[in-house]
Amino acid sequence: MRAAQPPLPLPLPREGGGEKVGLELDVGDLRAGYGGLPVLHGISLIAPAGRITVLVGANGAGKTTLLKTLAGVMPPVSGSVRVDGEALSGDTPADRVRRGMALVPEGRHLFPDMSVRENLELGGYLATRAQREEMLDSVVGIFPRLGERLTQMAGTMSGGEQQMLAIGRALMSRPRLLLLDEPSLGLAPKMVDEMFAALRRINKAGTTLLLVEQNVFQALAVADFAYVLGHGEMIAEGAAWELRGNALIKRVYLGEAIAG
Amino acid sequence: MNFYLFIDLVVAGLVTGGIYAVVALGLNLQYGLMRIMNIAHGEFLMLGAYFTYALVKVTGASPLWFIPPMMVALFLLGLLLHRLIFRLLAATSPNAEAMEARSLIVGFGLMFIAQNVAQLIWGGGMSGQPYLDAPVTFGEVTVAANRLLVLVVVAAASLALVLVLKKTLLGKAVRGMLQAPLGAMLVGIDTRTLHPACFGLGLALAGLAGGLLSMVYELTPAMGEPYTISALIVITLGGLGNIPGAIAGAILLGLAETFGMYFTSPSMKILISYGVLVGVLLLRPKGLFAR
Repeated sequence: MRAAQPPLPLPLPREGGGEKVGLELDVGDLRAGYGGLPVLHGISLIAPAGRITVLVGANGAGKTTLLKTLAGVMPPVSGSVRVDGEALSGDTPADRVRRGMALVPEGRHLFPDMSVRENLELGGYLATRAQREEMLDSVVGIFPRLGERLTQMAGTMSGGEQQMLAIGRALMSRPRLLLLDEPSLGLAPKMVDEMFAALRRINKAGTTLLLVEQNVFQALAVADFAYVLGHGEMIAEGAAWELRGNALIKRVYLGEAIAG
Repeated sequence: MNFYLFIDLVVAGLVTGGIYAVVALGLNLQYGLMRIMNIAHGEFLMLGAYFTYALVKVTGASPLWFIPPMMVALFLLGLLLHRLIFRLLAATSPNAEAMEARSLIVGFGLMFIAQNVAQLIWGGGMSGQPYLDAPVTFGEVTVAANRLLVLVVVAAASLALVLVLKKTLLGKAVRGMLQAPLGAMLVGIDTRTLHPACFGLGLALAGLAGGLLSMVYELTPAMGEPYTISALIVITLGGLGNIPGAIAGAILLGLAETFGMYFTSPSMKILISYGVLVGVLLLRPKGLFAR
């Protein structure tokens, strides 16, 4: 039974060679919006398998809408979403989780009156009991702090710990493509470093990451590829190291800093 | 007050409180999960009571035989109502407030339909078929057997529901939907099956309360209304979505009503319930157990 399963993205580590774990995400001319009000005007991007792709852009550019559409929380108006070259079948978030995708949403949306352990268990809602137990060990391996607090109520933890839990909860479904919406938002600098280090480890184990970030320079430092989203449209793309020196990125980022 | 009277009142209060708990648990799930302000909730209690009564009358058998199939029937009726009405309301309501307002109006409609159907079939007067009303004696304390039975069944049902919500993955999923709907969707919890199931469970629990009441009290087509009010008070006391809180609130309300009515008069019942509500809200505005 285990042999028929896709290879486990975790337990860690899985460096150098081995089977391909991460999914490739290919978004083509995606349009979406709220109640007839278009937010995305035809977005195309590729998040290559096993790599970290970062998506930056000003507030209101449509980054969160894009991730929510990819996760099946809101329906697209038109366009295609393919993983490993296959069009997605089914349209609910559960279908996406079964396909190996998971979203760590902006604002985390943890279960505040449930323990850390219960939050993690629900992260593996669609997995078998054995898989849940195995993944719980892996997640605790990545975030030892969660292991120390399995019985604590999620709502009583610090912002940084809650973010770790949100990522841990998403990992419980054994995602091969992990979408993250502003994971560093509101975290203390030390926590931000810790979180980026954890993301790097998760990626090293093979999982593809698509990361939306305001923390542009730190995100570009861990990413392989980067996209810059303007108002509902892609305005720049390239290798992360190229975009790090890009004047446009600096302008978007500075504009963001002044606006914020 | 002598000791035996005190025990009498405590038992009566626990029976009332237990019924309130079972009724309120279902309404709490319906409102907490789906923002369905089901003002017709008590009508399903009434239907459960008449259904049980009618079958007892025809067959002469114990009402306990008919309560489980009646609960299954109400569960299925709940699935049907959700499918026909509330799913559509949820899909077309722009936000939670609109959903509450619209479901309230639909609830009034269901209430009128249910009461008038019952009146058409069973008449507007009181009907009843007491079961097991022989007294049971423990030393000097005497309690009617049927009340004791009601108490045991509602306690077991409440405890079972709490355990399912606390311990099973499915129960945790329901609590997850209550606490963070988007978070629940993202981990793959399928609201399209769990919402109707929880709505149906609410009806089944109201029916259970009705079936038990049919062994103790007279029935009328309007008997459900006060239970809807009590359930709303209990939910406010216990905190929305807080299941153990609702049970504690229900017991508190049941005891307060029973003792209050004994020392004043039965006509004061509503005043006492609202008194408890106002008192708790003044002291603990977010409910008894808010952190």
